[in-house]
Amino acid sequence: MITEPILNLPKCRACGNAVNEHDQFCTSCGFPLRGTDEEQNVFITARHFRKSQVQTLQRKIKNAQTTLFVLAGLFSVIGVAYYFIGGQNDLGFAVMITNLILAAVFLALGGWAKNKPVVALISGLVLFVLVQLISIIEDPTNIVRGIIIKVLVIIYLVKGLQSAIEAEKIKKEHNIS
Amino acid sequence: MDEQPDITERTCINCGTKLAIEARFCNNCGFTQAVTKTYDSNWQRTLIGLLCFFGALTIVCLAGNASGDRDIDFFLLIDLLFIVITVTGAAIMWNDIKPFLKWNNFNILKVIGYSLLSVLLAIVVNIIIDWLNKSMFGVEVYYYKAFEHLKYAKLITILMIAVQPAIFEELAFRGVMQSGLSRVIDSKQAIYLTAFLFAIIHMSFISLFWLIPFAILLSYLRNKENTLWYGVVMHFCFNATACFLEFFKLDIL
Repeated sequence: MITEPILNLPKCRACGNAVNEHDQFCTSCGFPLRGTDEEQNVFITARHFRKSQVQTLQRKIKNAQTTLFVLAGLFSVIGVAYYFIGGQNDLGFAVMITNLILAAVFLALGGWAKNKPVVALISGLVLFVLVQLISIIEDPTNIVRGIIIKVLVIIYLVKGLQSAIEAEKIKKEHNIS
Repeated sequence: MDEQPDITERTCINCGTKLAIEARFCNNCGFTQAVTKTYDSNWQRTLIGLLCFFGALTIVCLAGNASGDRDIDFFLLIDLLFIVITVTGAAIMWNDIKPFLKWNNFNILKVIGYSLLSVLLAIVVNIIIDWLNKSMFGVEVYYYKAFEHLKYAKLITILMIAVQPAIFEELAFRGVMQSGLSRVIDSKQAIYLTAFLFAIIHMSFISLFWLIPFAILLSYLRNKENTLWYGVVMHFCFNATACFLEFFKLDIL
């Protein structure tokens, strides 16, 4: 493989990648190398716009990630409290361990949401809904307990998930990192 | 499935110009090459379909878990519902699943190796679970108790606990779910998501600590070996070992 000509190759104005002299378009970002000034400017503006779009989406992903961490915190606090306040019996211990395992899973998903937001957020959402379903089946009054927090959690996770899918699509189609 | 094409050159999907393998845009017409065939144009429909599929399975498993009285009719009904949903899903996804139902490169050494591995895993997991159950709930849980009054109780236990899940859970998750997800997200992410969904549908949050890794292993193998059957074998060995350990503990082996 010859690597030295890269030094002499012109760089793309939009993404900075090396391009071949006779190319019409940058193979890395699609920049019209032979286009008119106007075409080039339109491209660069659109690319900037998409970048800021991705940044907005990433804020929503970040919120969802924070939600997962908050869930981890809530589950561990509730679990430990259940055991120590509700009399330290076997049932309390089982509830605590279950809560701590759930907290660990949410924590892991939160950490993972940085690299793989789509999968981490779907997993977190499904797990959260399932936990709620099980608790409602066990005691139907659970549906109203902390309903505001539950709805908020679901809203944040769903918004984050939508943003993650959208961001991934934009990044893939336009090669924006 | 996004199998990497092993050619060093490809052509633009818009104008047909020859492209370098790493080119994301055509150098002749500027057309983006990211819209690959791996991404389903109907991805929203696929996703909603998978959601319905998973929702239906979840309801069945929730029902199976929530009921207090557990006799054989009830178990059969739950299993039957699970099978019906799985087969329906498989029928819809048939074209995606078909290649994975073949067992190419059958290798007896691999079968033995994977079987031994899952037997070993099952023993380790069972020791931990026994310890947890005893120390937390003060009880020991036996699947066999639900069937013990029946004729051929052991055979029924094996069928219900080892054979049915091995085939239909594999078909549902490594088959329908993973193939469906692979249409929408990349195959590596599909492995993790399938594994996670498979783990939580067991409705035992304490068991997540071993279910998730075991499920990742099964999903990974499905992609590596391009067949569901190694997973079926491993799943069967794992569950069958659990059954035999129960028989052993109940002294009825």
